[in-house]
Amino acid sequence: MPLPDLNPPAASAEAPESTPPPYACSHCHDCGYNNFPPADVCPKCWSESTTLQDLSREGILYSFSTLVGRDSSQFVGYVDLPDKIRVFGLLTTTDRPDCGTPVSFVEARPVGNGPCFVFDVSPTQEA
Amino acid sequence: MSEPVYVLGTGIRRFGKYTDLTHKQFAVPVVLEALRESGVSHADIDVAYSSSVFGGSMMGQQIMGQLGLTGIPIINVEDACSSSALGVHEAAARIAEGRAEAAVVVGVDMLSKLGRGALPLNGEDWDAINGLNMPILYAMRAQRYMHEHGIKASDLSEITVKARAHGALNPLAQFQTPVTREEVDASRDIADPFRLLHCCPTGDGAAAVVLGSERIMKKIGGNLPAVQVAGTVLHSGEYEPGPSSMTTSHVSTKSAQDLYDLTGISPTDIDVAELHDSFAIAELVYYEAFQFCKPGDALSLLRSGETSLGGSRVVNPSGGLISRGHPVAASGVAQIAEITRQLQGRSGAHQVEGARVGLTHVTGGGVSNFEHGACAVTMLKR
Repeated sequence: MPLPDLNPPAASAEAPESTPPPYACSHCHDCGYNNFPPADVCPKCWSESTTLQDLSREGILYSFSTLVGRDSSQFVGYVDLPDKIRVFGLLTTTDRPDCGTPVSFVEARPVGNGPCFVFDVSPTQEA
Repeated sequence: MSEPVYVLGTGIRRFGKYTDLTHKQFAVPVVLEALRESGVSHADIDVAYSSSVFGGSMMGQQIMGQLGLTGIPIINVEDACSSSALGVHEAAARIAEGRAEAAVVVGVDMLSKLGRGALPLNGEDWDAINGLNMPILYAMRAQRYMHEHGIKASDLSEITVKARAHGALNPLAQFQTPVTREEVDASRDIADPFRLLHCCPTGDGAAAVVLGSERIMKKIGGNLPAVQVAGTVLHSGEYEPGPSSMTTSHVSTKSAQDLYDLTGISPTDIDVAELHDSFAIAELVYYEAFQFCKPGDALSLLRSGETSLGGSRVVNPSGGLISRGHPVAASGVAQIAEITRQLQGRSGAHQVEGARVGLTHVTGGGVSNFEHGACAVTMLKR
């Protein structure tokens, strides 16, 4: 039996389409587990009762690096969100950030050209 | 049933760039070297395991057909960088359970055919779609380790200096020239904080081992000291889409502890180890995973000289992945061949004197939400 699709389809987070993926995780209504990228089945309890849930716009930069083969000032990093989700994103700063710095979600870009999610590094914390 | 398992033969070719050869042409002489060293005949080999991440399907049949090892099970196994160590894990289990007397295991990859740069990951994976590759992943691990433990980027260069010093003594290493800390620091940027020389090279490589039961070892006899596979452990990483530490390797720590528990061998018993130093930070993290030092003390351990040739617990005497090279599927078996030869006392200029107990460790990574997709560890003893 085919698994039910999320509404909008979870597959949109992984499909190379021109529209940006949703800035969202899948939330399990049976056990409360959040998963990213969104998926139709909860990996904790195997429930198929999952729906998209917007991710928090504020997070903490866990760690960072630079994109290989590009301008070395193009910083990227792992952002930890209060939704118990870690996402990889592009950082708008041109200065080397610090681990533990607060960051804010700016936009989602279409897949296929580096990180889809863009975060602004808090200037007050970065100094 | 658990029968003792031994390494009967080893084969390895110097890693590097061999653009005129196919995978099959490259691997067959290596398998032949292991077979001849072992002394087994065609009829003795019950099963063959083959690994190649980038060489195409049914590489085992491609290779074994050239050696007439057909009609037996030829099992192709893939777990990224852990692939051929997984083959050894499965082959050893089959022999220990009495389902085979002898097995040949080969790993081969020819990365020069892929061009330069970071290795391609699964194109359907979310991380790969977002441009997150292995250098960036390990670079973020390094940044966080530096943040938590107060070390500098140039401190990582000391791992490369050690690796290249060891590789300079190993005629099978891809890089055989030493480098200074200043040369590492001055190499080109790859992914902050990594410079080029903090990273393992791309290259071509093949390695093979023949494993056998005690019965077949005694039947063959042989002139080399017997090296026993004291134990093997394989784990996948845990799926974790949320925050988790990147400075502690969960899957390697678990695999190391299980290997110590399985074999009754403790960290202080280890004379020599080949650890998965794909990037300079990795060796420091894995010192801690294998309990060679306390968390945060890895740089001090390195600087003590204990893990360098001449030390009491030498790590990566071959030069490791940074200097010997890291042709993905070949690395696991290459490590096991290296430690086997170390325990037999035939490693020449990079011999660890008096080595009796050694281990190998490879991780296979590059999957979203996994610290690593797989980790395979092997304990060998003389």
